Amino acid sequence: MDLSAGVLPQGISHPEVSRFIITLSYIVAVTITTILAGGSPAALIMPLLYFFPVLYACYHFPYRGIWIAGVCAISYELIAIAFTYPVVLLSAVAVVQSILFICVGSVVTHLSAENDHLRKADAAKNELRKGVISTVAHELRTPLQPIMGYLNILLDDPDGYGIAKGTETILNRCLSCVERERQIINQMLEFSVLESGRIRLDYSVFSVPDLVGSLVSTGGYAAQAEINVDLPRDLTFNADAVKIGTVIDSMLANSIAFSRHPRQIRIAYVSSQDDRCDRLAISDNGVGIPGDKLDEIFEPFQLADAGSLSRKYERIGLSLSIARKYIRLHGGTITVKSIVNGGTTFTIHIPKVRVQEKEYHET
Amino acid sequence: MKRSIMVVEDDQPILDMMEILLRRLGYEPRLSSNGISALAEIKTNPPALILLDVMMMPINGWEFLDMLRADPVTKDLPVVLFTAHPSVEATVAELRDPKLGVLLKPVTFSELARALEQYLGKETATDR
Repeated sequence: MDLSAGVLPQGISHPEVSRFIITLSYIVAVTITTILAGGSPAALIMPLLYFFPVLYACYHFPYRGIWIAGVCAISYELIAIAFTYPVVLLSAVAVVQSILFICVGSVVTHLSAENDHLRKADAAKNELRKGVISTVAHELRTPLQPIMGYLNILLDDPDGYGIAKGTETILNRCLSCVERERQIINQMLEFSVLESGRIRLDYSVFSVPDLVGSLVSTGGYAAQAEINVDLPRDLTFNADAVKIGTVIDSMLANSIAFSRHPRQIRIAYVSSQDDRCDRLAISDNGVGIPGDKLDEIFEPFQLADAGSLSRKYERIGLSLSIARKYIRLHGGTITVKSIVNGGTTFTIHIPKVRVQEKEYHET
Repeated sequence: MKRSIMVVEDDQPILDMMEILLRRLGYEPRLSSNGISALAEIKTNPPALILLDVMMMPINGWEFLDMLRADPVTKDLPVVLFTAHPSVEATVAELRDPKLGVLLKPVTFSELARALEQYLGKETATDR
């Protein structure tokens, strides 16, 4: 269950509410009693005696703190009453204040417990979800291993196994399908982990031209398109190299998949020294994306003109979603400009100064 | 002399496939579908590396690893967990065991070759 549907507003925790109400009640109680006591020395000194124990209790025991504060308030009132007059009036004020204090404490404790229950239920559900995802991933991936392995064995030595040329082509197609299946499972898994779990960034300073060169080489992209890399030789990012690599790889694969012959891809650094962000632009000469579909392409399982394009290019729309989530984790963004039949440019914006690490929440 | 790699895996098609792949990569494959008998064999004749499945019977990969590390003869052997369970990567990272790696199924022929070179290379460098 989404915590925003809980009893406390999202972003405000129960200890914060408890402390706020206790502190407010304390100030009201002390002010009223001190005024009524006519500035009696006892009335002025007594709050100081219990102020620190109450604060300590509130910060360390948010639930019990409510009751400890209540007991302290009653004690204070009783002691103040003993030293001040008129006794009847102050007693009445003290009793009313104490009752109000404990009522407020009771409500806050109830709300806190309810909110805590929701948090625990949410955590349990997340754990269950992770367990299911993990098991499903295991069951889907395991059978792929012998298929992939045996195809590799046959295709590594086609002559030795007496495989004819036509059969070899068929086996290669089977292997491509298995590799695609593996990629889809991995993407779904990655997406699920991003949605449900805490992803931490592993920051380091790395060379961007080296990373791009390695991605182009490992992905075999140079064989599929003309790749122009226009990056300063000394360009470095302070970011999570693996995740930025995943993003650039997704962008490259996406640009190549949607470009047209002769395929031309350009990777360029388009930031200036004054900019707060480093910007990498990846452009293609592809089919382009209609303006009204630009927002949709980052949604999971969405492709602009999904029906025909996904069939034509055999892609599922997850990689851009994952890429955007990774860049948002860095405090950055991805923008896209496109002209139908004129090509598309994706620009990755990453803050030059490392942002405070936080748990990812998609809004 | 060929370096031997012990594969402990209860899935027979994968075990048969690993035998061919490892032989083709120039290693001497040693196969076991049972963790308990594999432990006994490893103790008398330790391999250069163990490729270990995690979800298997009668003992799972983690139990196997505990027993392996508890024995002074086998405690320093390099182990690569060969699994399709994605959560194993995070667990292995937390364990901070320099002689423990992970390889996520399914792997291609070239990925397996690269991973074995990397783990065995690291092992050789450590030994020096």
